[in-house]
This record gives sequence, structure tokens and C-alpha cells, in this order.
Amino acid sequence: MKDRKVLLVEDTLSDELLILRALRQSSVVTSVDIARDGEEAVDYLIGNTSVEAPALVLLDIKLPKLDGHQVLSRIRAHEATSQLPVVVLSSSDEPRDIAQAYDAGANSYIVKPLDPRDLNHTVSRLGDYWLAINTPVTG
Amino acid sequence: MTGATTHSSVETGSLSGLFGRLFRSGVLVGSIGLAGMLVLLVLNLGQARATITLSQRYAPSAQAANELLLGLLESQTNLQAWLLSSDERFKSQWHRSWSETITPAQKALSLGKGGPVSGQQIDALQQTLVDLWEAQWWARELSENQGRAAPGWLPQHRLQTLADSLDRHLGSALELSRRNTSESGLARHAILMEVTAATERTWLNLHHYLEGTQRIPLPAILAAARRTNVLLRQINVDADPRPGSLDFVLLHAQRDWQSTMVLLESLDGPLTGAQGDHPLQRLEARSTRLTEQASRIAREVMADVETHLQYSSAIAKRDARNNSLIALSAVLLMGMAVLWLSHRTGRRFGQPIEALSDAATGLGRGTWDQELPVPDTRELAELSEAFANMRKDLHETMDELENKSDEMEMFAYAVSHDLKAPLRAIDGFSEALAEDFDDQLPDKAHMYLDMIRNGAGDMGRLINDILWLSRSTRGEMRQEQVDLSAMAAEILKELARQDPDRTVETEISPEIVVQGDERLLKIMLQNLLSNAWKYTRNSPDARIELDGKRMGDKVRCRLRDNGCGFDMNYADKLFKPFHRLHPSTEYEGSGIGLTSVERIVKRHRGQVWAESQPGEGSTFFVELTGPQASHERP
Repeated sequence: MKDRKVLLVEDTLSDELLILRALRQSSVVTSVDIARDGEEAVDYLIGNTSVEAPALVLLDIKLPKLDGHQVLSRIRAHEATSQLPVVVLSSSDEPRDIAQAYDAGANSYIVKPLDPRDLNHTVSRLGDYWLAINTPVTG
Repeated sequence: MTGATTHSSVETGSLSGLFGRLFRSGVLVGSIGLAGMLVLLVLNLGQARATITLSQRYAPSAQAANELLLGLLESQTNLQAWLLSSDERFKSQWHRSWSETITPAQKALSLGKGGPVSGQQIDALQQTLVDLWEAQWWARELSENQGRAAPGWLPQHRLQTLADSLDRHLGSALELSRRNTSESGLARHAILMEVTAATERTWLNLHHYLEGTQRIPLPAILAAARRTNVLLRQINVDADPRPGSLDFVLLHAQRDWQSTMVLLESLDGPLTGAQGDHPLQRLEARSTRLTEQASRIAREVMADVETHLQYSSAIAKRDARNNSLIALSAVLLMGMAVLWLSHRTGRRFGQPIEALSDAATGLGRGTWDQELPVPDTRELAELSEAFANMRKDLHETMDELENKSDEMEMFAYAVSHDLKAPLRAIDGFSEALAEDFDDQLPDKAHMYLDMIRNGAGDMGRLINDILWLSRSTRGEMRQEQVDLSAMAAEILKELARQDPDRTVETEISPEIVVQGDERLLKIMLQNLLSNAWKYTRNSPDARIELDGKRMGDKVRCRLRDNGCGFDMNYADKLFKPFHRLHPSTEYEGSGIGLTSVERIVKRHRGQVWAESQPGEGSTFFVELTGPQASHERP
């Protein structure tokens, strides 16, 4: 992975600051773009072709306009972003919320607050997955 | 309504008159009989024709089964040919014949049950085809990805390493958590036991899956694994990070599970290479087996349809012959008259009652808008209207209840999402302040920041407790027979193991069996017994007794201890959340154990109450539904 840009979708300012701090401490991220609601995230990822796609999306569930689940289903439904790694970052540890996120196609789920070690760990594990899905198919 | 009443009273009067007229007039009986005979003749001819039509309808199922059979064989042959020769032409032919097979397969599956093809056959064929489809799909995926297999990327090997690590960590976590007898410790231990069992199941299923001998599909294994992962992550591991501590081990177990999940999720994608015998070969072997199985069932279906066709045509011939005999039968003259009468009576009384009964059954299934009869007799019309009113009231009440439960759901959602956010800010920024301005802050400032963080941590735990409580009252409830005696013995054994320094005499009556949800009843007993265990801590000859008495269809359980007891003046506070009758410095706990007990008992439509005197011990009564004969397993 060369450019490890992350799209952070988060509407709460205090959470945003804390997550940015954790991202600074973690070793996996080189730059961060921020969307503050679901619609902005969809516009950024799907509507906007001029911006290079991020390597990872960190997605909050409770968001204004479109919520995280809706954003996730749009990401999965759109061809160019269908395999984009998405880590859901949510307050809730309700089994139902977590199951719903995985059903909608999340690659991983981290319960807030974001621990930089947690993120490093999750992302390094996701690495195998990316390798498997992002290598061009030969033959 | 009034119109219907007037109309129906006239009809009721004419019914008895009809009887009289009917039996008085031989001519009428005769003509009705004649008409009936003709009707029967026509009906019989119709039936014979219907039998033939039905047979013709099932002929395509034999055709579809045949197509499926040929398609399966062709696809399998091409797969084998490609594997033997590595000739790409066979591969493309295999892919083509496979996708062409699916359409007739779906046709065969949509044949419907109840005809010559039995439901069991359809189920078996469907299951086999799903398995086969999966095996071939994997084989296809694998064939598409030939050449991009990364050496060392071997799921079995990596999973084995993870399995060993998890086994080790969960084992020592279980060992360590046994020592903690606090309420939260017990809850954690219960979760751990469940996680350990679920983990073992996952590895076993996975092993079978990767060996190609699985009965459980990968999505189901994945779903179970996700649940286990979530369950394990519920345990808070932030308190004690020292190496060797329970939290430390748990943290590692959580990480192991996280890694396992990532690997499992990637298994759900395309599979890459393996060592030793190639997974493709294993899949091919499995696919051969399944093809044989599907072919066998398809052949059976064909044979059954053929037999059915022969049988039907024989019946149709016989029916046609019988028609002439029936036509000559004079007995039918009277028979038909009676038939006509009973049909008429049935239409007037039987049909409306049947429709009402259907609507009532519909209520049980949640159908609120089933059409009600508009009977032409007054009594039935009133009954129908009363039913309609009752249904309307019931529907409104149900809606109201549903709204209340929706509100509860929304409350839990708001708590878990909104209440935690400001708390996270308090805790997070205190931590940031302490870390980022470490040397600029005086020691006292650090101390205050620690206290802020401790307070935030306490509040976080309280929020989690509330959520846990609300979770125990939601979700599906199962109905099964639960042996409380065995359950209690197991829990007490566990309590004794965690607290080896204490001697508590226990006495449990055998075979206290009730009806309910095993998972919830276990939480209930765990709370009650650990309370008894906790509050007898200062009694010289600690004693806990559990017995049960059958009272009609109820079972009354009595749990007695000789602990410190409580003042009955405060008995009404006993089951209230976060109310404690003893200072937390003396007996630990968050004050939601008995609230959970009450919620669980209420969900079982039972009752719970307690009697006590300070210093004399307490007695808890739980009344639940006894085992029902109809639920007993043969």
C-alpha cells in the first residue's frame, strides 16, 4: 500500500478530534479526508471521480441524512467501490447493530473509542483481505 | 346490521318450513334426486378429466429432472476432463454447461410439493443442489484464480495457529475468571464459558468445511463466528493490563478472535492455493459425490412421476367405467336429497362459523384483515360483529404495546449511541490532556485528571449495565423444558470452585423442571444463587437450599439461605434497578442482579417475591410454568 488515505465519516466534532489523534498515533494512515454526514460520504466516494479513492473508510453509524448502514449499502452496490474496505466505527456494542453492519458488508467493526493499537491491528489483519481482493485476476 | 337481522329472521322461518315441504312432496324429492344424479355424473366426469390434466401437469417435472440429470453429468464430465487434461476448452465448456444446468434445476425445484414428487424429495434435491452449487462455485472460483496463489497463504495453516492461540488464551482466561466471584465476575465467566464452547464449535465446523465434508454452509459458520466475536468483545478488558492478568489474557483472546474474523471474512472471498492435495481436487471429489446424489434423486423423481402417470391413467379409466354404474343407482335419489339439505344447512351455519374460526386462527398468525362472513341469521351476524369489534380492540392494544416496545428500543439505541458520545469526549480529552501535556502539568493536575477518568469509567460501566439489562428483556424467547435442579447444582459447583476458601452446605431437591428459555433462566438462577452465596459470607454455618413444589400447572421454587437477610420494610426496593439494601463497601455489586431476575420471571409470566428478617437469612420464591405434556419429547 503506497498512499494510505482514509476517509473518515463522522459528525461529532469531539469524536472526530479524538479519532484524528488516534490516527496520528497509529502507523497505518498517511492522510485523512473527512465527511460529516452520509450524503457527503456518498458524494465523495461515488459522485466524485476527480478524487482518488481512499484505501479505507472509517464509517460512523449514527449520521445525519443517510446513516452508516445506508452509506455502506450504497458503497457495496456501486461497482467501483463494491470492494472498498470499510471499518465501521460505532458507539454501540449491541449485537444487533454489529450484525447489521456485517450484513450490510462491513469488513470490520470497532467499538468507540478508537484505540490506535486496535486500528493498527485491524488494518494489518485487513491487509490480507485487501491482498486477496485487490490483486488483478490473472488468466 | 339491522338490515341483515330482519332479513335473516325471515330466512330462519323458511328453513323449518322447507323440511316439511321437502319430505311431504315425493315429486320434489324425486326431481332433486334426478338433478343430483346428473350433477354427480358431471362431477365424476370432471374428476376423471382433472386426474388426466394433473398427470399431464406433472409430466414436465419428469422432463425437468431429466434435463437436470443430463446437465449435471455433462458439467461433471467437463470438470473432470479439464482437471485431467488442463485443456482450457474443457474449462469453458464446464462453465457453460454448469450455468445452463442451473435453469432446469430451478425449474425442477419449482415443481411444487404434494404431487407425485414428495416434499422430502424436493428438499433433498434442493439441499444437494445447493451443496453441489457451492462446491462447483468454489471450484470455479479456484480455477479462475489459478496462478495468483500466494505461497504460505494457507487458510488451514493460519487458522490452526490461531486456533491453538485462542485455545490457550481462552483456557487460561477461564481458569483466571473462576477466581472472581463478584456479580460482574460471574457474568464475565458465563460469557467466557459460552465463548469457549462457541469457539470450539466454530473450529469444528470450519475443519469440516475446509475438508469438504461440511454439512454447515460457510455463511452460517461466519454468522456464528461473528456472534462469538461480538460476545467476547463485550467483556471490558481495560482494568488490569499487567501481563498474566485476566484482562491481559482476555485482550489477547479478543485479538485472536479479531484475527480469526478477518481470516474467516477473507475465506468468504476467493480461495487461494494450498499445500498437499489441492483444494480443487477435494472440491472435485465432493462435487462428484454430490452429483451422484443429485442424479439419484432426480432419477427417483422421474421414476415416481412415471409411476404416477400410469396410476392416474388407470384411475381415470376406472372412474369413467364407474360413472355408468353410479348413474343407475337408485339409492342416490334419497342420498342426493339429504346431500342437498346438508349442503344448504352447511352453507348457512357451517360456513360462517368456519370463516370465524379461520379468522380467529388468523389472529394467532398476526393476520388482522381476514375477511369476516356476513351471515344471514341474526345470532351468527351478532357473533360476527362481536368478533369484528374484539379484533379491532385487540389490534389497537397490540399496536399500542408495539409502540411502547419500539420506544424502549429507541431508548436503548439513544443510550448506546448518544449518551456515550459526551462521555467519550470527557474521557478521551482527559487522556489526551494527560498524555500530550504530560510534563507541563503539576502532579495534582494529573491526579484530578485520573479522577475524572475514573468517574467517566464508572459511568460507562453503569451505561453498559443498563444496556445489558434492557437486552435481557428483549429478543426472542424460546420455550423448552429446563431442569432447574441440574442447573443450580452446576452453578453452585462453579461458585464453590471460584471461592475455594468457603464451606457452604447446599441442598437441592431433584427434578425441579419448568418451562421456559434456558439462557434466561440460567441468568436468573446465577443471580439468585450468587446473591445467596455472597450474603452468607459472614454466616458461621452457611447453608443454601433449593426446592420446588408443583401447584396446578405452576411450579413454585423456594431458595433459602441463612445469610444476613434484609429488612422487609425495604422489600419493595429489592427488585428496583440500582437500589441496594447493603452498602457497596460491605457487599459488592451494581444493584441490577435482582432487577434482571424480576424481568426474566415476568417475561416467563411468573412471579418472584422474597421474605426475610435481618440476620435470619432470606427466602426467595419464584413461580414459573411447569413442564407441559405436549412439549415433551418422545
